[in-house]
Amino acid sequence: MPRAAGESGFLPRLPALVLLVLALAYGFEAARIEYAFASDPLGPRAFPLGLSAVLVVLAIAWAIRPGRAEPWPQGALLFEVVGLVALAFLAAWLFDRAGFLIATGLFCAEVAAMFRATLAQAIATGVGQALLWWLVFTKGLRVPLPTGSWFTGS
Amino acid sequence: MSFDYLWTGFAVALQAHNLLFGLLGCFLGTLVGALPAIGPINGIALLLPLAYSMGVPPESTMILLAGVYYGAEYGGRISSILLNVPGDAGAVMTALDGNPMARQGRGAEALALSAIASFVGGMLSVLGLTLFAPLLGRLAIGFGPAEYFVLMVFAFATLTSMVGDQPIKTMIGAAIGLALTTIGLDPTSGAYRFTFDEPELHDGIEFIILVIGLFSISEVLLLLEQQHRGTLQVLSIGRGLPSLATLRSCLGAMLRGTGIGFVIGVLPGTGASVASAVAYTTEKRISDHDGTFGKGDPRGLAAPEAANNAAAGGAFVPMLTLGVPGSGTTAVMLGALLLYNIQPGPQLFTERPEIAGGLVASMYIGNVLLLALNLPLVQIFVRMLLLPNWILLPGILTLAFLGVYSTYASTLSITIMLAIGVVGYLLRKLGFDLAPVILGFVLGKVTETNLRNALAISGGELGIFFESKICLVLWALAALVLVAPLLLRRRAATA
Repeated sequence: MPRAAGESGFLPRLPALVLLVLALAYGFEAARIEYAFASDPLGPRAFPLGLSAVLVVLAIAWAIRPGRAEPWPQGALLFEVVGLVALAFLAAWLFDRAGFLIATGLFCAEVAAMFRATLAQAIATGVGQALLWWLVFTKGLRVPLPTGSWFTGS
Repeated sequence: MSFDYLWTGFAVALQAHNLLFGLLGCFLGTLVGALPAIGPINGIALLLPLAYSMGVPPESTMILLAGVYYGAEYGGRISSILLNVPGDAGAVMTALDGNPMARQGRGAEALALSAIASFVGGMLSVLGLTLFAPLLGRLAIGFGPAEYFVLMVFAFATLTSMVGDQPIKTMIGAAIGLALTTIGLDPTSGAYRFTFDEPELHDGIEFIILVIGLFSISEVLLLLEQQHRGTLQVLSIGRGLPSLATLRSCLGAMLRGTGIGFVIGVLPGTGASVASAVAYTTEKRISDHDGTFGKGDPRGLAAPEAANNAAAGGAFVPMLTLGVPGSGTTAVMLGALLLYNIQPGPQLFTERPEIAGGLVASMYIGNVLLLALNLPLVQIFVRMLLLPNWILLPGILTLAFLGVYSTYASTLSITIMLAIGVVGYLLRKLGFDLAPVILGFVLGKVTETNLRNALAISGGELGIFFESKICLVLWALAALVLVAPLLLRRRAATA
């Protein structure tokens, strides 16, 4: 009898192996935690070391039986998902450099376009949301937002 | 104990201007809470200096702030239920059954049910506060590190109800959540753990960053996929109130949630997030016979909703009777009392009855106001579902940025939030539930700290965990939670 899709082969087991490596690295780092003294019998290493051991066992169990997973995005969709993530990181990078209005405005317009807005709708979303949230936070909630170190020179 | 202070309090709280302050607080709180990631603490921290500088008398300020607290607690449910993006820590469990209800076109019903469950939890917990405050204050003192640790054992025992058809993934999720709590400065020894010399990591991963990243970012990415595959649902908002039959079926869940939430809320250091988590997992243990929890079961919404509001009320017990805040928000309110030169403690009830009584009375009134305010507003809030995705999703992402930034004022925390979001997306694709990760995180710090403090007190003797009556009761409850369902199942099988 053929096995259910996602249950066989190396690829479905890859995430479990990644977790195994991370769990070992976590344990390794835990063993290297430096401290001058501990006021309790366990100290700062014991809890993470124990957790690391538990995670290693669980990762092996997961590798043996990968279980159900959803299909990964491919082709154009993969491009869109990676693109959205990259744009989000870019917006975070621009946040205090170009300022809240520009970083958020651009990001909102791009996300709107990804969710099938027309060009005009995307631009309106970018401008509108950037201004709306700027007003809500700086005027309403009194949270200062970055105006952009590129422009203020600080 | 005499209730004179309470009558004084009602006389104060029912004055027209104080009623107005209560209503204003509820309304502003609901608005602030409805924004993802902007929770009650932000709302209170924001209004306190404003009220103080305007010369508002202390009892009115406390009434205003209590209103904001309640309002924000409720407002946090709205995005949790409608968008699957929790507004604050206590609302994570609300999304588990609340969001599936909204997806089934029962969004308005879910919002109304959440308001009613909140009302039940809030009202009963204030009643508990009125009747048992001094007694409960003593219970809270009786909780040392050993008792807290056994309480966490009990919480983990209830967590076993979350084990679905993929138990290994549930356990991995909880372990990841626990591991995340070990990042940062270890308070007991002063050691830096897993900080990689990055000062921003010294305080560890903040809960709100974890919640926003895991839920809002992964949700938007999954919606992008659904749109591409053409499986994106068009949601309907549904008709208004839950039926009487639904309410009756939820009554048990609400009462159990209230009891659990109130007791956990009374204990300093364990707030609404632990309360709602334990209430949900316990209710799932008790009521989920047909596997409907997590798929839009109203009881799975009612239990954590009653619990987190009951916890909000319970958190006032140690604050008013001992001067020890039971949660982050009550800590800010404690600061408010101190700002007016008022020292909380047992003598507050006799020396300043208008403050203690006014606050307690305003909690009764606030709960009624909140229900009256929010049931009609449900029809407006639920229309959020009708906004097209190209307006809604940029808004969610912007608020995710702002929620993190307004709390930590650093762009590195935004980057960390995004990285957590990508991990959340990967986990969901791999068939993980995110709730166990959150549960592990919520319970992790309390577990480790109290385990180590208890052992420090006993000099490494494990006997300390079995000495007090409270410990023994909690061990018995934990065993009951683990064993009872097996016994019930066996009885059902033989019957």
